[in-house]
Amino acid sequence: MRFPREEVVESLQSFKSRRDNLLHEDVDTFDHHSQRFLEFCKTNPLVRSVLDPLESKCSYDVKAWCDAATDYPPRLSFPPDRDAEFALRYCLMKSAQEDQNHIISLGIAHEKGEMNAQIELFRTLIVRPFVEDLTYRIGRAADLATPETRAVQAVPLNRIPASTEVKIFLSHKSIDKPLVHRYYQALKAIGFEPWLDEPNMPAGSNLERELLRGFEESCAAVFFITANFKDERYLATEVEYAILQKRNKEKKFAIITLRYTDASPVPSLLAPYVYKNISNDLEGFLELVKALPIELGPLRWRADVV
Amino acid sequence: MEPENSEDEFTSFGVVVSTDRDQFFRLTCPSCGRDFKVLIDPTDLQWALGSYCQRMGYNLEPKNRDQAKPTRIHCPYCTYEDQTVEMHTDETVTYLKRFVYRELAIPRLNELASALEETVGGARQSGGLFQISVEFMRSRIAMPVRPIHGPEPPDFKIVTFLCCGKKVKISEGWTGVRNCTFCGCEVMII
Repeated sequence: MRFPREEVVESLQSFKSRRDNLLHEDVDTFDHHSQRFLEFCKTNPLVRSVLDPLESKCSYDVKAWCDAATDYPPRLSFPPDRDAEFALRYCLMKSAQEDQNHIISLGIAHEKGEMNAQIELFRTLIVRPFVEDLTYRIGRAADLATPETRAVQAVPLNRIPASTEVKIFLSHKSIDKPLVHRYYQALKAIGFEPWLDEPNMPAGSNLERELLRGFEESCAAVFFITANFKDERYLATEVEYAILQKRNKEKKFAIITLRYTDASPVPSLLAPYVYKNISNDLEGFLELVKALPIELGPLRWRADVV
Repeated sequence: MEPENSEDEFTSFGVVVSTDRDQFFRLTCPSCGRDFKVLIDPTDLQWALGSYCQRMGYNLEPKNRDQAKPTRIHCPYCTYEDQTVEMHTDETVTYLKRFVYRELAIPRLNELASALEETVGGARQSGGLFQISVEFMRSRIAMPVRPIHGPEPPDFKIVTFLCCGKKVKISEGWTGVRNCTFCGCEVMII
């Protein structure tokens, strides 16, 4: 059975307040607190969800139990089944609320002459074990009745990058554009911000200036070494820019070289930096994501499915 | 727990407190009065119990006092910093007080009553130039029922602090966490 979270919280607060009054308030007020507690048990939906299935199973003869408990010597016998004992105690509490003689007789059978002592005895023998068990059961019912706990993350401010420093610069030869475009699309799809000359450079813009800006706004430069790679001169400017960024940003900038199996050796400019030999795009993509200095956030449902 | 002035006498207390289904324990900020939860730490409870024993006049302290110190944390709402033992809810404080009263105070009071009875009884038999007769009603304080803690409702959302990896539970609607509850560094919920 499900209940709104607020209703569950309110039910538990009321339950605890009534239970503690019943257990700990002065014995002179026991009758009043007992009445309030039983009234709550009778009407509260969360408590009902615990008691209803058990009450229907309780077939004990309360009068016979009371007779045995007040006999001489008194015999306090409870059923071995936990549910049955719980239900019997509840019946005994209701019965004592209707007729206080049950409390008095039980007390006298245990040589308690004063009313206060009789109530204390009833509270110890019958009430407390019942409310302790009910506390456990109602706690479990509350857990089952409420949805899973939501979780969010608190990120230290120094781990939150500015939007102008998280791009991923994809350096490549024009002939490899289809390959690099696949990486571009895949990176975008999982939430990263790849930088590629074609979509990121407006017509008429200054090539060098835009390239430099692309690097300045990036946290990584990815170099693709494929079979098409022959002349490393085209790379010189971009590698220089990348090295400059690496010097400035240190750990917050990665130079990632992906070398396909059939490609020429890694150019000497990039050789000092770690590179990965890969046999396909998927492998390359995995190595790229692992080498990035940024990470993606926790999993969320898409907006259109909730 | 161990009485401070005796090397031979040891008293052990087993306190059961209620956590929610994720093992979080409710605290209240003494500054802003709002509730939040942290993962249960037995050391903090030991200190709290020791503190209530002391307030009732019993000089007790945890056995491993030197090793275990109560944690200092920041309120996730108002950033107020204090020891966790100062942030227990009224419910927990009342529970611990009732526990200490039942398990420590009443047995001691009853021991005192017995000792007094013996002393006065002995004086009657000692003889002397004159005799004072003292009559008192011999009554022991009845043991109250053991208190119960909880159940703890499954409310609040979990916030994981990526600075130290620790977790806190705060009110569902609260997004204004500015500092890590544990290490105090500046954070933002995103």
